[in-house]
Amino acid sequence: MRSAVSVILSGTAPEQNMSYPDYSQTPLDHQSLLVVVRHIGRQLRTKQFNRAFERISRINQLKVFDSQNQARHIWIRYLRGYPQENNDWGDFQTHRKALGLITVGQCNSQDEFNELCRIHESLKVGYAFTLYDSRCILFGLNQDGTLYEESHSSDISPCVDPADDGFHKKNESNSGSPRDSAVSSTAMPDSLQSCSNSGGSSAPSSIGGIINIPKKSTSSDSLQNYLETPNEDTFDSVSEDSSSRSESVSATIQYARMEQEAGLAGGQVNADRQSVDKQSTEPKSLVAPTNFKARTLFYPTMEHSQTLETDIEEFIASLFWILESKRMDKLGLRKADRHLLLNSLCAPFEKKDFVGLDLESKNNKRRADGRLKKQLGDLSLQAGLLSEAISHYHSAADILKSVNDWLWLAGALEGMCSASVACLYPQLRRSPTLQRNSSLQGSELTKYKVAAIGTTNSLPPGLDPEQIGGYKPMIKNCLTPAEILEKYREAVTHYGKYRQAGIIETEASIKAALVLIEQRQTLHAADFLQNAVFISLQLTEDEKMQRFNALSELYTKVGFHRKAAFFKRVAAMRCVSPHNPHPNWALCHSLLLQLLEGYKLSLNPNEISTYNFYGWPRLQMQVMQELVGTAKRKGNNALATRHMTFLVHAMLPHMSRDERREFAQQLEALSKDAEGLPVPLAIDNGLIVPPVHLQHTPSVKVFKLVPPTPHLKPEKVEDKKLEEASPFVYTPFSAHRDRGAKDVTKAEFSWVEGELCEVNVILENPLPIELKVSSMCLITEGVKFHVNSNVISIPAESNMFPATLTGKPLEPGTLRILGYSTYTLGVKSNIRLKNMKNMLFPHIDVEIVPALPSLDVSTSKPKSEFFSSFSDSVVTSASISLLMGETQECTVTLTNTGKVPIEHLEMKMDSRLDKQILDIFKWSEDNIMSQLPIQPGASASFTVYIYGVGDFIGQPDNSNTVDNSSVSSLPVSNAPSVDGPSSLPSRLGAISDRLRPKRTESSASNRSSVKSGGGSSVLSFPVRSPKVSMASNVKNYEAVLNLKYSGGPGFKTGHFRRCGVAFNVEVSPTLYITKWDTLPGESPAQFYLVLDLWNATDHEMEVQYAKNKQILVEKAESCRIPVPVDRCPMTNVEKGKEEQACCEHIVTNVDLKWVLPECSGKATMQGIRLTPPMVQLVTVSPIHWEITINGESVKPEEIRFDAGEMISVNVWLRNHLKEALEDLSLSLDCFQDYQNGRCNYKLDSRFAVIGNDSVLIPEICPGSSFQHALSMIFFVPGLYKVDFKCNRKSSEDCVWKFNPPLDIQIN
Amino acid sequence: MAVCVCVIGKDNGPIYMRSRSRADELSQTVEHNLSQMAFRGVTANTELQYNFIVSSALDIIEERALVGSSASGYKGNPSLHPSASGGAVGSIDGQQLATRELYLGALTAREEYKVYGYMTNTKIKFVIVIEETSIPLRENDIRTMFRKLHSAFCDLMSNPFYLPGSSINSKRFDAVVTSIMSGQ
Amino acid sequence: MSRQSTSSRITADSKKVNSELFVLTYGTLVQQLVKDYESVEDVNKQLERIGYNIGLRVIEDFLARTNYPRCTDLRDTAEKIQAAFKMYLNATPSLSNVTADEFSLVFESTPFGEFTELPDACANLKYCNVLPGVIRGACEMVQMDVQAYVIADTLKGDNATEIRVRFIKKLHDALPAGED
Repeated sequence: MRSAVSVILSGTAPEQNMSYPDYSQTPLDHQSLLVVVRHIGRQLRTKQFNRAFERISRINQLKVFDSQNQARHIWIRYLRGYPQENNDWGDFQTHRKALGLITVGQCNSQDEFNELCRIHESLKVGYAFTLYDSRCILFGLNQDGTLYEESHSSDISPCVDPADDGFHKKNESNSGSPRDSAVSSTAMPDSLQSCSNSGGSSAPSSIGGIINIPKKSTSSDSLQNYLETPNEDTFDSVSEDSSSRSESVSATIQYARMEQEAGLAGGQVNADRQSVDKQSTEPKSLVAPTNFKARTLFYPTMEHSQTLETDIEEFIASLFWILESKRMDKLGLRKADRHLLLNSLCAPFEKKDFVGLDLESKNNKRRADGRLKKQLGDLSLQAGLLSEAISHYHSAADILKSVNDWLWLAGALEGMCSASVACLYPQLRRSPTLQRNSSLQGSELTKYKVAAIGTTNSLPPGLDPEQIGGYKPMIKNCLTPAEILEKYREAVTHYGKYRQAGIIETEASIKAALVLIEQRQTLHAADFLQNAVFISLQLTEDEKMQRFNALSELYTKVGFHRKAAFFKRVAAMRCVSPHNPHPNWALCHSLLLQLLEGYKLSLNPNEISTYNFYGWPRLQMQVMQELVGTAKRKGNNALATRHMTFLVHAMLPHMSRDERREFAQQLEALSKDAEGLPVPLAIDNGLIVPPVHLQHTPSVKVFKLVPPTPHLKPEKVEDKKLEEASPFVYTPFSAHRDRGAKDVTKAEFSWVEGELCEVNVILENPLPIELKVSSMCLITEGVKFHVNSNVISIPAESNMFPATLTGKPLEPGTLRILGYSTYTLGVKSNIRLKNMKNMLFPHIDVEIVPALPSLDVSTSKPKSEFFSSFSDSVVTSASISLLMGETQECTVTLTNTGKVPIEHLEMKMDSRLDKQILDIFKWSEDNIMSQLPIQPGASASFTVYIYGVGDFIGQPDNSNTVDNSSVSSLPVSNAPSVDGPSSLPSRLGAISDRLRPKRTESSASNRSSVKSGGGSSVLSFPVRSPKVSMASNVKNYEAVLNLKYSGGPGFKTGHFRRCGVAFNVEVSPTLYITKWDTLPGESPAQFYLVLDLWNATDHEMEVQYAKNKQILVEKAESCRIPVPVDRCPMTNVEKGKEEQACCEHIVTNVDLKWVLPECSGKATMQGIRLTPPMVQLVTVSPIHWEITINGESVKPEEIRFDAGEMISVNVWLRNHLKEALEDLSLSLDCFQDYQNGRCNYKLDSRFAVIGNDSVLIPEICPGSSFQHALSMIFFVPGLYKVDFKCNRKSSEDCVWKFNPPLDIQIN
Repeated sequence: MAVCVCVIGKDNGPIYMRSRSRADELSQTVEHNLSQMAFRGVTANTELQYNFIVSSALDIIEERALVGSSASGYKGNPSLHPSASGGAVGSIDGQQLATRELYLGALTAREEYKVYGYMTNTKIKFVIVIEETSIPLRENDIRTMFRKLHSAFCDLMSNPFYLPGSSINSKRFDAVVTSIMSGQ
Repeated sequence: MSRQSTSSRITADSKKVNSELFVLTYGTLVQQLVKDYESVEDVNKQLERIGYNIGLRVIEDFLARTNYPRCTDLRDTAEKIQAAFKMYLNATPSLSNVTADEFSLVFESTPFGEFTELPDACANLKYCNVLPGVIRGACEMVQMDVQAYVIADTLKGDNATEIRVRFIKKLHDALPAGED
C-alpha cells in the first residue's frame, strides 16, 4: 500500500533528503540534546581523541533545577559526526538539531592555534542554523603558559558564546550568501548588544550556579537568539525579514520591560568582559584570530584536564538554558503570531511548497498551531518535561489530524511514543560503548560478534514492561505499551506517505522495533523491521551495506537469527556488489563470518557434528561457498582452503554426487595455492579458525593391527604357574572377556623392535572421483616409531578399499596408536581414533619387545607340496622318499636374517606317530650348539640322518606283525625229524627224501602233515603276485623339527621365536622275509637260520647275508637262504624269556645287506618270532654227550664189527646248566635205514643188548655227569644205526639227542 | 499461485523443498537482487532464493509457535490489531490464529509474494510461498492447500518405508505438491 | 464344541480393529522383515510362510462361520476364497480368467498397500505376499494342493494387483476327522 500512496503524496523529485538513517537512534534520543564532537587538527592523536570522547560522552545526563526549582533531567547525545542534511530536519524534530559543537584538538604554536580556530569556525558553519553554543578543547596549551588561561578557566562567563555565535553567524552568512548582507548588518548591533549584557547577567549562573537569577538573562539572550531565527529562515524575501524583525523587536521590548536589575548586572559583567577582551589582546599569550569568538578550553594534557568534566557540564547547562528559553518563548508566543512561524516549522522538502502560502488561511493557522505544539512537545521533551511534552503532542496530534498534516501528525505521534517510552523504558538508553560498536567502522564491526540474544524471552524479568510502568511515577495520559505500538504503527504509516520522509520513517520503524523488543512483542518488532526493509532510499552501496547490517543487528535483537543472518549476508553481498566501485572483500568476509551462527554453522568441525542435523544444509553450503569465495578474493588463500575443507568435510552428507565432485575438485584447486595444514588459522580480525580434518574422504571403516606371522611371533618364556598363583581367580578367557568390556586398547600380541609393523585399514571413498591419498601414515606416541607413508589411490565411490599402514618401532616399550594422518586433495589431516565413530576405543597400545633374531631355514631336500598343519610356525619342508632299510642324509641350513645374533637354539622333533620317528631321524645336537651364536647374515647347518624303517619280517601285504601261519607252516619245525647226513645239502636232500614217502602215509603224525603244508607253502611263493601288495606298502611319516631360538636384547628379556621344518618321509618296501626256520648248524655251536627272501623292488637285488655269502634275487622273486648263526648262549636268561632272548640274539647277529643298482641298505630281523623248538635249536643244548665204544670215543664215521662180536658202549651225560636236570630218561634205539625213507626199528632178532637199553636218571647235578654202560651184540651183518636220546619225563617235547647217530657196519 | 512448497522437520531442517523455478518471479524483491550476486558472477538460482526466504520465515514460525504455546503478554489482546493496516501488519490475524489452530497465516508479505506457514502439533512445519497475482487467493484457498499438504504428509508417514524425519522422496507426495502448485 | 466356539467368535466379531492400524501393523511387519533379511527374495519367502501359517488356522474359522458345503469345482473354491477376502479384509477381489485348474483374484489396489511406496531398494518386493500364503495354507487344510503367487502389483505400477491360484492336486490322504 505504501508504495501507492507515497507516489501520490510526495511531490516531485525530492531535493532535500537526509543522507542516510541513523540506525543507532533510540526513542530516547528524542529526549536528548545533540552535541557534535569533532576531532580537529592533525596534532591530536586519534587515541587521545577517543579518550576525550569517552570522557565527554560519560556526561550524558545532567540534572538541572529550573526556575520553579524542579529537577530537570537533561540527556545529551554525543556524535562524532552529523550530516548537515539531517540537521536540516531539526525543525521537524528538534532532537535532530545539533545544538552544541565540541571540537577537540591539540596545538603547540600560534599558527597551529590559528589553524585550529579556523577549522572550528568552519565546522560551526555546518550547523550554523542550529548551533546554540560551541567549545573548542585544546590540549597542549599549558595553563601557566599564559595568564590568559588562568583567567579564562575562572571567571569567563559562558554566555559570551551565544553572542559570538550570533555574531559569527552573521559573518558566516555574509560569506555564505551575499544576498542577505543587508539583513545581517542591520541585525548585527542589537544582537551584539543583547548578547553583551545577557553575557554579563548570566555569568553568575555558570560560576556560582545560582539558578533563579539567570532566567532573565537566558531569556534575554534566547530572545536575541530568537530574533535571529526568522532571519535565518527568511533569506528569500526582505519583506518577511522586516516583519520578523519588527516582531522580534517587540519581543525585546517585552523582555526589557520585565526586569531592570538584570541590566545592571549585565553592565558590570559587560565591564569585565571588556577587560577580558583587553587581556586577550595582550601579545604574550596565543592570540585567537579576531573573527574567532568560540570559547576555547585549554588543557595541558589529557591527564591534567580534571576540569574537563565540569567544563562540559557547564557547557551542557548553557545549552539547556538556551533551549529552555526557546521553549519559553514558543510557549509565550501569542496565538495570533503563531502562524507566522509556519515557515520555520516545516520539513526541508516542504519549504518550497510553502512559497507564497497564504499564512492567514484558517487551515494554515491551525496547521502552524499544530506544528508549533508539536515542536513545543519536542522542546519540552528535551527540556526534561515529559508530561508537558506528552500533552503538547496530544493536542498537536488532534490539530494536525484535523488539517491532514500527515507528516507532522506522524511526528507528533512518534514524539508521543518517545515521551511515553522515556517514562516507561528508561533502560532503553544505550551505554556509550554499545553505541560506538553499532557504528560501523571497518574492523570495529567484526569484534561485534553477534550477541547471544537468544530467544525473545531472554530479557531479564526486571525489564518486563508492566513492571517498569509499575514503579515509574505514572505521568498522566502517558501511553500504555499497547498504545505505543499502535501510535508507532500509525506514525510509520503516515510517514510512509512521503517519499522524502523515508529516512524518518526508517528510523521511526527502528525505534518502534526497539521498543517492541523491549516489550517482547517480537512479532510486531519484526513487522516494523520488515517495513523498514521496504522503505526505498537511494543510498550508496556502502550505506546500503550499513543499512542491512544494522537491520541484521536488530533482527538479532529480536531473536530472528535466520533473518538476521539473511540480512547480514545481504549486507556482505553489498560490500562486493558489482555496482560497488571499490568492493571490500575483507569486510564481506567478516560479515559472512558473523552470519554463520544464524545458519547454525560453526567453523569448528567438532561442533558441526552437533549442528549439522538441524539448520539448512542448502543454505549452509551456499554460505560456505561464499566464504570460500570471499576469503579467496581477499587474498587469504589459506583461509579459502580451510573453508573449502570445512565445506567438504562437514557438508558431505548433504551433497549430491555432482556437488561432491565439484567441491572436491575446487578444494584440490584451492589447495594448490595454499595447502591445508592441521593448524588453527588466525584471521586478521583476531578470530581463530580451527583446523579441519578430512575425516570422510577417505573414511576409515576398519582399523586393525596386524599380528606378526606365527614363525615371527615373539613369545615370552613366562611360567603359567605364576599367573595361576596370582590371587585373581579368573581363567585367561574371562580375563580376556572383561578386558574387552572395559577397554580393548591393549593389543593381544606384541610387535618386535626394528621390524616392520602393519595396520590394515579399509577405506571408503564417498567421492565420485578417484581419490588420491598422496600420503597416509600412522600417528603414534610412546616409543620412537618410524612411520612409512604410503600413497593410496582409491577408486571412485568404492567402499571396501583395503590398505596397509606400516612403520618400524625403534625401541622397546609401549607404542600407543592414536590415529592416522592423510594428505589428500592438498589437505593434510590428522584423524584421531577417538574422533572416529566406529572406533570404540580412543587409542590402541601395543607392546614392543626388544629386537629378536629371525631365522630362515632351508633343507637340502625338495620341499614337499603339502606339509602337516599341526604346527603353524612351519617355515619350510623337506620331502624324502627312501627304501626300507635305506639311510639318507638331509642337511638343514639355518640362516640368521635378523639384526641380532642367534644365541640360543632348541630343537625338538614332533610327530603324531611318535616312537618310530626317533629311529627315523637322527642328528647330533652338539654339532649345532657348537656353531652358536649365529651372527646376523651368517648361517649354520647340520645333518639329519633319515633311516627308512619298516618290518622286513612277514608277508608284504600284512607286514605289520609276524603271522603265525608262516610259523606253523614251517616245513621242518619239529625237532625229531631234523636228522640225516651232516653235510647240509645231502642232509637237506635227505630230509626231502624222507619226506616224500611220508606224505602219502596217512598215519597222522602231526609233523608229517605239517611238513606237507610247509612244502606247499614254500612252493607256492612265486605264485603270489607282489605288485598288488607293493603299492599298499609305501609308508608316509610326517614330523616337524621345531626350532626355538632367541638372541640379542630379546633373549635377555626372555623372549624367543619358534619355527619349524616339516619332514615328509616316504618309505617304500625293499625285501621281505616271508618265512624262516632254524636248522642245526655244522657244529653244535652253530645253527642255520633259513630265510625265504622276497624282493619287493622291481630291480634285481643282491643280498649279502653272511661274510662273502651273497645271492641275487630277481625282482619280485623270492629265494631261500641259510644264514649260519652262532647259537645263543642261554646263560643267565630267566625262564620264559628264552624266545625274546633268542630273537634279540638273531636281530643283533644277523644282518642282511641288500644292494640295489643305485642304493643299498640293511634289513633287520626286527620282529622275528620263534617257536619253542626253534628256540631249542637256537639255544646251545644243556647236555653234553660223550660216548665211547670199546673204550674209544666215537667219531662221525662208520665203525666196523663182526657179527656176534660184543660191543661195549659207555655213555656220559654232562650237564652244563646252572640248575640240576631231574628225572631224565636215557634210551637208545637201534634201527636200519633202508635209504628209501623207511627205517626198520624191529630188530629184535638181529641184535641183543646186554644191560638195559634205557635208564632213568633221577638227576644230574650241574657240572657233574652221569655214566651208563652197556654192551650189544649184532647177529646179522648189515648197516645199523644207533640213536641215543635223553628226554625229560616231565615234558616229552624237549629231547636231546646225540647227533649224529652212530653208524655201525656189521660184517 | 503457489510457487514454493517446503516441509520443515522438527529440528528446523528442511525435509522437502519444491519450488517453481521462475527467474522473473522474484526479480523485484529486495532480497532477490541483493543476494542475487553470488560468486564468480554466477547468479544464484531462484531455488536458492526460496531456500533463503523460507528459512528466514522459520523465525516467525518459531515465534508464532511460541505465542501459541504461551499466550502471555499483550499478544492475546485483539485491540492491538487494527484490521486496516498495510503489509507490515498483514500477519497479525495469523498470529492470533496460531494460538488456536495449526494454520499460522501469512508470515511475511510483499508486493510480489506472500509466505504462509502451517505447523502440525508434531512440530512439522509446512511453508507455502504464494506468488501475488492479479486474482489474490482467499485465505480459505490457502488453508485448503495446507490441509491437502498435511493429509499427504500423514499418508507419507504411514508408508512403512518412509523413515520419519528423513528427507521426503515420494512420488505420491510429489504429486500432491504438484497439484497444489498448479493451483488445483 | 465347534459351534460354541463359532458363536463366541461371532460375538467377538462386533469389535473391529481400525483398518489404518491394521495396515500400519502390516507395513511395519514387512519393513522389519526387509530390515532383517538382506535379500528381498527372503522377505517374500518369509511373508509367504507367514501367510501359510495364517491360512492353516484361518480356514478353521472360516468354515466354522460360514458352514459352506464342500466345493464342487475350482470356481466354487474361488468364490469361497473371494467371500473370505470380503469377510476378513473387507476387500472384494474380482475373479478373472478362471480355467479348470487356475483362477486369478484381482484387487484394484494392493491390499494393505494404500500408503506404501516401494523404495528402489526393494523394487521386486512382493508386498502383499502374505495373501498367496494364506490361500495355499487354507486350501491345504481342505486337501487341496494349490500354488498361489502374485503376478501383478499396483505398487509396481501395474494397474491392478492380481493373485494367480493354480490347482495342483487333491490330497486324498489324511482326511481329517469330522470330514464325511
